[in-house]
Amino acid sequence: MSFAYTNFCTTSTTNCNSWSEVSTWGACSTTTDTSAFGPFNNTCVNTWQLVGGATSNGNYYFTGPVLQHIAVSSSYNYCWDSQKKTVNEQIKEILRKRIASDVIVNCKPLGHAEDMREIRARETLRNVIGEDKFRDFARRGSISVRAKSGLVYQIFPGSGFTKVYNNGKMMDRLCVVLTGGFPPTDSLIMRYLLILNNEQQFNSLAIKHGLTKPVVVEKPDQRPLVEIFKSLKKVA
Amino acid sequence: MTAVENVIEVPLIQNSFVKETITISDKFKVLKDKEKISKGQHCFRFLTPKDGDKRVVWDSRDMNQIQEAKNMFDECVAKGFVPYRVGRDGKKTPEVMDEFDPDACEVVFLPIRQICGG
Repeated sequence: MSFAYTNFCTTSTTNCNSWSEVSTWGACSTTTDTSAFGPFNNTCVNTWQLVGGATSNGNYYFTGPVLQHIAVSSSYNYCWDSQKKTVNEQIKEILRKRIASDVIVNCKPLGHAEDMREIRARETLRNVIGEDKFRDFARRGSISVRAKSGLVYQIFPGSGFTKVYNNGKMMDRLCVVLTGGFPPTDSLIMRYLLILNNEQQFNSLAIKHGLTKPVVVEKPDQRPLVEIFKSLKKVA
Repeated sequence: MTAVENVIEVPLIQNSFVKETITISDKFKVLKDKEKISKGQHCFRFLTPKDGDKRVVWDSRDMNQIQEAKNMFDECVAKGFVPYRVGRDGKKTPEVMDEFDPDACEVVFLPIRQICGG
């Protein structure tokens, strides 16, 4: 059985009364219970806020907009609010995730340039890399170059980091710039020419900024839909 | 439109504010915006902060201009520009030029003294 933990967030590790973003409250049979609500309780050992009333058997109840699910443990009851999605909604969500492409798109198309220097620089770039690559650049805001070493460099205009990839895996982020107020595309031309011809020099000039924390893409449930539906029904 | 300057400024040493200049010969033409390179003309492109890209064209059929172009090429290299031969419309992979080649249609000059890590 899954729990909607999202409403039980806290910034305090000692006092449940200071929990934030809680619209509905959970309650336990004991005021110092730390197990009923899963991982969050591992950090919270203080009293639960009693918003309902104790019944004759000693269990705490709670109030909220809608309360639907009650899970029973060996010694006490506990609940969570009903923000849990219906089976239909969960199936729809799984379908949406399956249809969506599994790619994080992080591109910024080239904007309109008013500065004549930038327009000239773009003309030069078009001449250097050719019409097709330039069109890609306009759409994505970056160009990718395979250097002689086999590494692929993704170059951005201006002071953007150059990302280095090896077999599709990001290895490093490098920063090489043109000083003196050059238009952004001039920097890109410089990086493009250096990487293709003087990769070592480019790397020696560059300041290495390391990797960023990778974005983890949650994989949708890959089981057959019938199986998922059955298991969701069983839970509901 | 402002008049086209016939000089190119380069830092005297790495990332310096003190500049030295390269004068463009009167025989050459500095292309204005929207002007196209005509047939028989070869082009030097300089990346400069002031212009973004300064395009100097010379006639590849005129021996005097070829000689002038060679002189200018040598002066630019001496003053910290690295020349890259590029093919028109990206048809050729850019490559560093060790010496002047009158057959190179397009040469991009990179101001190496203004490149640094960021």
